[in-house]
Amino acid sequence: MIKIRYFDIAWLSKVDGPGKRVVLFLQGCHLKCPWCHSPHSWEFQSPILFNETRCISCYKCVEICDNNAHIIADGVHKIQRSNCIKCGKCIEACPASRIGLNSGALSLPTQDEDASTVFKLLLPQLEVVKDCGGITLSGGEALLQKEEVLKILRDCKSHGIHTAIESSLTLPTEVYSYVSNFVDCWLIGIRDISFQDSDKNTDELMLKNIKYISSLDKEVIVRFPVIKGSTESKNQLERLVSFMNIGKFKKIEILPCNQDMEHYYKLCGIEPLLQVEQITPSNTEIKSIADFFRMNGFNVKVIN
Amino acid sequence: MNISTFESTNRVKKLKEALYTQGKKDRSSEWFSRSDFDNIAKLHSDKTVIIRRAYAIKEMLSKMTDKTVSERTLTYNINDDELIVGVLPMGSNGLGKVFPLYLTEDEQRMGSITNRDEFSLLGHNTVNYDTLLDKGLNGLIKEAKEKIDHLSNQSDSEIEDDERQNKIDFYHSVIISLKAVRDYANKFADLAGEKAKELDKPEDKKRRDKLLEIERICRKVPMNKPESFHEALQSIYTFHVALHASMNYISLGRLDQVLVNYLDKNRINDENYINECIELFECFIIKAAWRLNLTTEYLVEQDHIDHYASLGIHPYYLDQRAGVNNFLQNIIVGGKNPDGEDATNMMTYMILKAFENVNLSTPGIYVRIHNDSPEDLKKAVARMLSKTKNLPGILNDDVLIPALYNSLLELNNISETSNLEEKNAEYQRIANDYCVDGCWEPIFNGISDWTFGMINGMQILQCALNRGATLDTNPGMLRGDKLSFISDEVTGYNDFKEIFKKHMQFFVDQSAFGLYEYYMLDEFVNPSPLFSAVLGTCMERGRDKSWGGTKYNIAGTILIGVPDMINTIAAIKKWVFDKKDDKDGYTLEEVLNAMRSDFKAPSVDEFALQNKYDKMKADFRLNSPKFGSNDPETSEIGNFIIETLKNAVMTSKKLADRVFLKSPEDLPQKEAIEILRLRRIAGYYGDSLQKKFGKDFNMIFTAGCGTFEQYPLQGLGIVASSDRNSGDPLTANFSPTPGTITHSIGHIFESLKSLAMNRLAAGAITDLCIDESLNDEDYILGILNKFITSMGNMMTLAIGNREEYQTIYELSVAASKITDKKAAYEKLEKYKDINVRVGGWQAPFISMSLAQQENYINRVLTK
Repeated sequence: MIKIRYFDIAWLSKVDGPGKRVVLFLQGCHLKCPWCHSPHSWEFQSPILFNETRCISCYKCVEICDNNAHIIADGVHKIQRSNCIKCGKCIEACPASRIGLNSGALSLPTQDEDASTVFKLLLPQLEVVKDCGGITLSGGEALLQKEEVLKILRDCKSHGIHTAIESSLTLPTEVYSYVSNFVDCWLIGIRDISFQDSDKNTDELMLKNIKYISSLDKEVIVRFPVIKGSTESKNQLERLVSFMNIGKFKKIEILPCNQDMEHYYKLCGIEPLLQVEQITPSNTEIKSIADFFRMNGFNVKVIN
Repeated sequence: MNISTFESTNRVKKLKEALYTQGKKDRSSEWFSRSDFDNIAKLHSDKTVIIRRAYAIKEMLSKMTDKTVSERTLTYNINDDELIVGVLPMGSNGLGKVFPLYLTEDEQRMGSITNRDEFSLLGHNTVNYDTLLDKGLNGLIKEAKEKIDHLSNQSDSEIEDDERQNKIDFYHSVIISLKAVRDYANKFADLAGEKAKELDKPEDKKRRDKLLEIERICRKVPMNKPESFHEALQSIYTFHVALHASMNYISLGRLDQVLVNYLDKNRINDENYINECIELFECFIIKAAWRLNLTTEYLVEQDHIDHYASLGIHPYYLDQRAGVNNFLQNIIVGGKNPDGEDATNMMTYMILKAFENVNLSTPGIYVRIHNDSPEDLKKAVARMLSKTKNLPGILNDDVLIPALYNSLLELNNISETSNLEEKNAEYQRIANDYCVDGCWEPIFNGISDWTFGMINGMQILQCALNRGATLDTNPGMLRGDKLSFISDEVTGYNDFKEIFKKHMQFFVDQSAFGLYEYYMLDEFVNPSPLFSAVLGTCMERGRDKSWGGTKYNIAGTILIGVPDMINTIAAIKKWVFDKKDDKDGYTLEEVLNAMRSDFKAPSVDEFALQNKYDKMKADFRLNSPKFGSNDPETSEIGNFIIETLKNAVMTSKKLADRVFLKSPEDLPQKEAIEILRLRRIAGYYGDSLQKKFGKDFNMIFTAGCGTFEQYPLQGLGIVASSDRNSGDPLTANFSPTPGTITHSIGHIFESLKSLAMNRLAAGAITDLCIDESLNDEDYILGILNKFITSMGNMMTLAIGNREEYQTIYELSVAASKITDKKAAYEKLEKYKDINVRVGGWQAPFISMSLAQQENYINRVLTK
């Protein structure tokens, strides 16, 4: 049985690939970009998420937890995540939460499910969007689970469903070739990663992958998060253009920094490295970046 | 030719504006008052009821064209720019009807026992206009005269006196009614002629010519067979006015199938011609919508509902407010023809386009779709839904045809095997040609009579859980209101199911036996000679429909509140039955007490109990399976409910047939005596219906699930359940409970797939509303396809904007208060175009009650 680990499903997205998409967000990522809006996707399992606004201070979680992960003092509910063994007992006890529902006060969003069960779960809505979109496997980094991804992709193709994968193109090329026969569209987040320790090997790997993806002759959409101070220097934009030219990629989607980026940091107790108000580009800046790509002959779409 | 680009002409725009202006006014003066009419019962006291009814129809139509009366009622008018003429008198399902009285005082007093009066005519049917157009009134009158001659010449040995007289009366009443329609048409011809004469200036020539053409048409139809599209449409409209004026609130049927024959074959590729025909149809829609009230300011003044007799069956909650603009008039297009082939034609697209352009809340438009419907039709429907945001409603042929066919098969007598193949082939043709009435219940196209009863499933559920009583906080009622028999205490899920089945049978028996009553008394109160003249076999048999005139009589039993039942049973199963020995679980007693007390501890000091109730409420709402999420538990429960309903209905029919339908004369004496005894217990002392109406009189029993617009009222008096507080509205029709959808719209359809919806021949409509941000033709097409392939029964889809609904709701709240009433009404006016689906049909959102609006806001799906 092939188990797939995911942390969320978007039943209807208009911004994750061509047309209307059902998006499966897979758990785990090796990059951990500081502008990522899903920090709970990074590790093998998400930390427990706590939404303070939903808490009704009933102390049921405190009572049930054997490891003192919940502390309510002076009316403030704190979670000692180092004590948490992710057993889910507190979620069961909490009147404002429900296992499997991520919008309650407490949740453990990571699901570990047989891939064919997940496909069955997705299928009813995939049948709705079949002729006007399809499935997108996103993450985290979806292809860290390549066997599982392949299983879902195969199932989709046998039902005539359009498939898209979102990837950073930083995994070994074999990973891409492992699934490529079943992918109709690649959503690739080529980014300049030299803001971290410059890593020549990764750059070379990305280049190799770009050439590989290009050779597949499938639809490719480059997705570019505009993060002030991190991704949008002149140098970086030019490097992106040259990468796109190498891959003969024509389409680029510009993603301004997600305004709700801090939401999940708060919920999972991770200190964000970046402050959203400092990294958000202005509309003028977005426009000039879009114009820059247009001038370079690309088909540009700004995602709002 | 691409008719998708055709737009309304200026004429249509002006007519629509005129309707809006009229709809915003206080329309109370346009209503007829009883004093406008002669008292027919007094004038014709020596005549039978059916003859009196016919004279009442004549009186109604003649007062509608009386110039003096019309100064107030505006019923004898031809407005500027109109091409289709005739005016529907005020009246609606919610506001009631006004009609000349024709019952004597004693008849009226006796009717108080059975809740019948002149106004209890059920409506809820449909006409196949092929008959009227083919024969014309003249043809029908001639036929009736010949029948009378024939009857008069029949020898006494051939026919009994009573039957002869009844039939002669029927034909006479047909002639009187049809002649009244003829006079009505001629009066409009006169009026058009007069108006033309007044227009003597050269610049008026265009309109004058049109008026002269209208005059010519009204002299010709509906008396004769039409020869053009305009003539056909006017013929149908005139007859529709006459039917509705005589309180037969019924649908217009499969108009694409009827009207396609009147398109000029030589001009079918001429864009101008097709455009003219669409314009005519748009004029037709506006005329049929003429009774709309577009403000809620003057409703009380227009309330004409009699003692709950408006629907002619047992009194049940009627949400008058929601029914203000419901006239029970639908048009059905698309689908299969009697041979089972796809019936989509040019006219299908033209009618859809006309509705798309005019986008009014009435008449209702339904499109029949099956898996092999043309891709172009599905696309046209998706485009129309996207543009109008709620038209048309969808009927799934792949489910409804088998459902109706199977219900017809029940007519086959097991012992009788001759002609079975032939009979079944006829049944298949009839099922293929199905239609829906003015709400959404499936019936046969112009050949069936239809009656129905409704039972509230949430009451049945309570009776099953609480030993035959509803849960009640009234201390005077001890355990609760005793609606059913005392049953055993429930000890487990399987045990519950067995008890539930028995209570279901009790409620279904009550309702279903009542449906036979219609044929026991309505001939003496509510015959419909005008409708019977064009309905099925009535003319051939010489019998009014209330006197067993039609070969097919359908009686539906509709179960209310199924989604709430499913969710409540699922929660109780999970937290009571499945967790019997678990400390997390609850006892049934605890749950019943919590439901009874609305999850509120009797006293504020009872912290522990309140805590328990809080947890229980959260467990029920958030942590229990919900209908619409494709959960195996809810599928099992849904299947169980539908199967139980279906079985109970068929079991009722078996007994009812034995007692009321079949003649006991041929049975052994002992059995015959038993049947007469059973009849008396039921309060019936008359003849077997087959003796009264002939050996092949029968009733087809069907089951359906729905609430219509009454779901807020149906929730009153119902204790708290899994997703609602005490007294809150029930979930509308066969839709997921608002706010419980955790997955996607695809999962709602998938949930239907597992329920074998083709058991529900009386229909089960799923009303959905998607957020405006998802308004995209391709996505809607995906929804449509998934609904059809998931074997859903019927669907309405609205595209809504939660914030806009919220704004309208807040303004409506303001309008309900005295202080800022006027200003709020004015502000509401700009939302007059926003129509929503209410329990299957649509209504302007501004005209709905606050409870309806609240419920609707939570319906919007974003995924």
